[in-house]
Amino acid sequence: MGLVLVGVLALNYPLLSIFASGALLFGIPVLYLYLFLFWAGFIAVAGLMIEAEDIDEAEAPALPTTLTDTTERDAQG
Amino acid sequence: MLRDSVILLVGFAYLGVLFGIAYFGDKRADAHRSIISNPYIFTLSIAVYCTAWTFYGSVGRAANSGVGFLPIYLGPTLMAALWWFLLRKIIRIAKTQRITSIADFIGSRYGKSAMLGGLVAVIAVVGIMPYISLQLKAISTSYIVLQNYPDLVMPYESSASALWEDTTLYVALLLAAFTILFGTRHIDATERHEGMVAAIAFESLVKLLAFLAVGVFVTFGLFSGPADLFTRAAAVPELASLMSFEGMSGGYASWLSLTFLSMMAIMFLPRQFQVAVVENVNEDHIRKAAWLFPLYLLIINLFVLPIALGGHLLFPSHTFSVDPDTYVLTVPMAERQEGLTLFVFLGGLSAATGMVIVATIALSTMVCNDLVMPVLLRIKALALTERKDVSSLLLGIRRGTIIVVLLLGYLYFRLIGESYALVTIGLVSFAAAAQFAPAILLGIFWKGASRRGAMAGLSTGFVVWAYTLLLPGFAKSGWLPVDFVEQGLFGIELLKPYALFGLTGLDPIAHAVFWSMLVNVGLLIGVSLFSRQSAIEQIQAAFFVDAFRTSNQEGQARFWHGSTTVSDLKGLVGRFMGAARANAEFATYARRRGVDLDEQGSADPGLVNFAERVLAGAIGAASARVMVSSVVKGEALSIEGVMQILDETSQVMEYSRQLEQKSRELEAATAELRAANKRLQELDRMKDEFVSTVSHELRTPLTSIRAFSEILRSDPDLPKHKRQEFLEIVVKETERLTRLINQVLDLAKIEARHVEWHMEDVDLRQIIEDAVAAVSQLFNERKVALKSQLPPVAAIVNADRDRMIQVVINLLSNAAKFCEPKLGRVEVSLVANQDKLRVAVVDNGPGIPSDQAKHIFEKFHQVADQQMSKPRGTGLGLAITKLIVEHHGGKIWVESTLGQGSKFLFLLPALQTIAARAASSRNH
Repeated sequence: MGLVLVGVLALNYPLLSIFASGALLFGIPVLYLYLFLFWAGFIAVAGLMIEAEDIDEAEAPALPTTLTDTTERDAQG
Repeated sequence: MLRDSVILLVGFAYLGVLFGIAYFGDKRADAHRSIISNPYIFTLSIAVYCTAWTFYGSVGRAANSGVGFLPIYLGPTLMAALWWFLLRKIIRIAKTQRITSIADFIGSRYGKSAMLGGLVAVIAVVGIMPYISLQLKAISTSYIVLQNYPDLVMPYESSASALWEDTTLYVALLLAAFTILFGTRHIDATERHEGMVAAIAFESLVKLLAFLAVGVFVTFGLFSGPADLFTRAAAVPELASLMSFEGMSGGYASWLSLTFLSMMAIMFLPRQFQVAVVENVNEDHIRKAAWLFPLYLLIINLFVLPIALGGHLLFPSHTFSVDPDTYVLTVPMAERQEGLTLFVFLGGLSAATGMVIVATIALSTMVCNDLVMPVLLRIKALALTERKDVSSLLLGIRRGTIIVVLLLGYLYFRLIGESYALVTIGLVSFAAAAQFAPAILLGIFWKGASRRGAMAGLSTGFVVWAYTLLLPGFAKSGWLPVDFVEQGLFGIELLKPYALFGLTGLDPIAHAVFWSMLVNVGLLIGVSLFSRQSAIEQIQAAFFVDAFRTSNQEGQARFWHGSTTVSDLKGLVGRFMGAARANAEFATYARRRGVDLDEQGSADPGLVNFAERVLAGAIGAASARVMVSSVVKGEALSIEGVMQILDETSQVMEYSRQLEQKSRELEAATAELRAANKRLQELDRMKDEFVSTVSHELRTPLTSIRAFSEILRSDPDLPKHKRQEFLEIVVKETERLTRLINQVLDLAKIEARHVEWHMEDVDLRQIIEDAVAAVSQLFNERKVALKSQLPPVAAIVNADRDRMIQVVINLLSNAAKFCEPKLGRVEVSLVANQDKLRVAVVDNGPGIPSDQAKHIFEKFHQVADQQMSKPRGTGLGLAITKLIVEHHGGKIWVESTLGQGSKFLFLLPALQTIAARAASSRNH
């Protein structure tokens, strides 16, 4: 949740306007560079966070039920 | 040279490959070996988000507004970070409730409302129509451009073709056929289409590779790397603006609104809901998809700006008039790259067909289950509930819907599509899909959201959307008078669709988003707060909001309270899904529960509920409810059922309440302990006092004994009578000491309950007589008259005989002690009344001051006697008396007036009372 807030802040006015000049860095527009680098960083952080997330023990039992449910049905269809 | 025949051949061959993949996928699914059950295929299927709009339109938008194409992809990236919490919850709900479309989801959440589901279906169809037409437009445009290879001819330059010559129509019909083949093979309770998902995933791969190929070709083939490309573009003034934020029309407000729209679209576009929720195999796939999908978006967008700038540099606007929407295709064409051009065409075809297939399947499920079926079921004349086999009818409706939807899309394209850029059409659809967001998001987190609220919010939001985006679009295409756009409805300025209520400064999309979301959210919350939910609404709300807690499906069983037979239920399900599938479903249920359904005549609530869920998968929740209630006799939903469901969700509250109670009990126990401790301290203090008093009392006689003994020892010449007198005193004091010690021991024993009480039934008259006889000598010595007044009948008490005699003796000797010799008169009397016996000892002694009367029974209390310095008693007699009387369940007190004698009284319960008390104590 916090990560999304950071994302919304970084990808909007006024932070975005800092890079909006149109100048080139290493021959690439700064705005373009900023957006894609932030994007890549965001994906990396979000990936690390979500991969580390556990399925709540209390929630877990429903999952297998749903699965066997579907596979069995498909097998008979 | 690319001939028509080559293009068509490649196109059809590609569709054939898709077909093969889909067929393979379905076969594998049937064989129980799913090929789509992994997070990578799941991610690729979600990438159906990237349509022809992404493939061709992004470059077009980038060519006009620089980075303006990016919010459409940044929004989903942000949203994907929330998937683990949000999407997983929606999937969990959808699986438990067997939800098969977004209309079903919203209808289910708000009390399985058919009205609401229908409304959502209508909004979806109207909202998505432009989007489908956009895909058809992209296919036809790319085909026409390709047809003229290697000349660069824009579609609008070619002559308008007649209807039967229009390839787009054939594309639409072909896609309809493809969708029907893989989307509506049979009616399934889960509405999952593994083959289709496999084909979609493959298409996502093709479009990504095709786009990357063009990107790499432009960036590294035509230019020497990105730096070279950007530097050369920066030299052109009009292109330089594309690299800054200036190119973005509508500025930051537009940027923000696009981000918001795309965040909603990735969740709530019907096709996204279809692939991400309905087709999801395993919740855990979200884990990888949440970062792989944004990565896919990043990669496919990497070369958008380079291609746009490259296109601009290749086709300067004054020499060629090439539509930037076609750069992806026209740049390779201009360079005579036949193979690449064909590959790009296939990529675009992939992007467009993928979207059309998934969207029409989603729409057909919705229209069939939430729009057509509820209406058909309600038309009594059709007697649909009586029909033997409805499953073929269901399939027919769905297939018909697919064809109608695609033809409508085609119609929209023929009539209106030409006037719009790809991106704008897409955004209109995004704004429509965003209308679902409040009802769903609030619905799964806030139990208070009600059906009326959702109805009001959705319908008003939809109307505002149509008025501010859809109708102006019609007007621009000449289908409506353009006046109402420019002057406002009826010429009222405030009603101008692009500046509603005078709101200006926003682009049309941001403007429409602002107003529609404002009324949508506002009405949903406002109306919900002021409307009452029905029982079924409350139950559904609880299930949706507590999806992770109540995923136990048994709870739902309590909905059904009526009775029906197993065969009725099976027949009902069979009518919609075919008898064979129904049998299979019921067999699965029986096996899982370990019950034999054939033996059971009547269906238990669990089975009824199971049948409803299976049906819900096939015909939608609202219709399933109607159907099941048609065979279940009796009340469908009892108020007790509602309360039980609510109980389930309030179990947590119950736990905390119990905890509170526990802690209250603990507090009470602590208070008791504290009181006991206080009492112990008090007793300890009393014991100390007692010990010090006893020592003091013992010292007094000891001191006098010692003093007189020493006199006798030191003075042997003491006259004989003196000596005799002193010895007398020593003996008396010794006797007093003995008595005192005996009494202390006695008292201690009684207090410590070490005394053995020999309880028996005795006549109180006898006791008094014995006591009087015992003290008669004392009275004679002191010359005090003693009189007793006893009743003629026996007064039986249950008591320790010796102790009772001790009590009376104590009182009598006390009286004798304080009476004046010769003048003293003491009278003992016994009165029996009802259940009490009263004994009174009256004397005519000096009396007791009233302030001392209540202390007289305390240990060592001596009534102060001014005349005599030496106390006459031990101060323990009355204390012992009191203990004995109280042990017998009695009560003792004194009535006295100073100078007029005293009256000691005690009450004892008569025998029957004691018997009752004994009986009750035995029960403990």
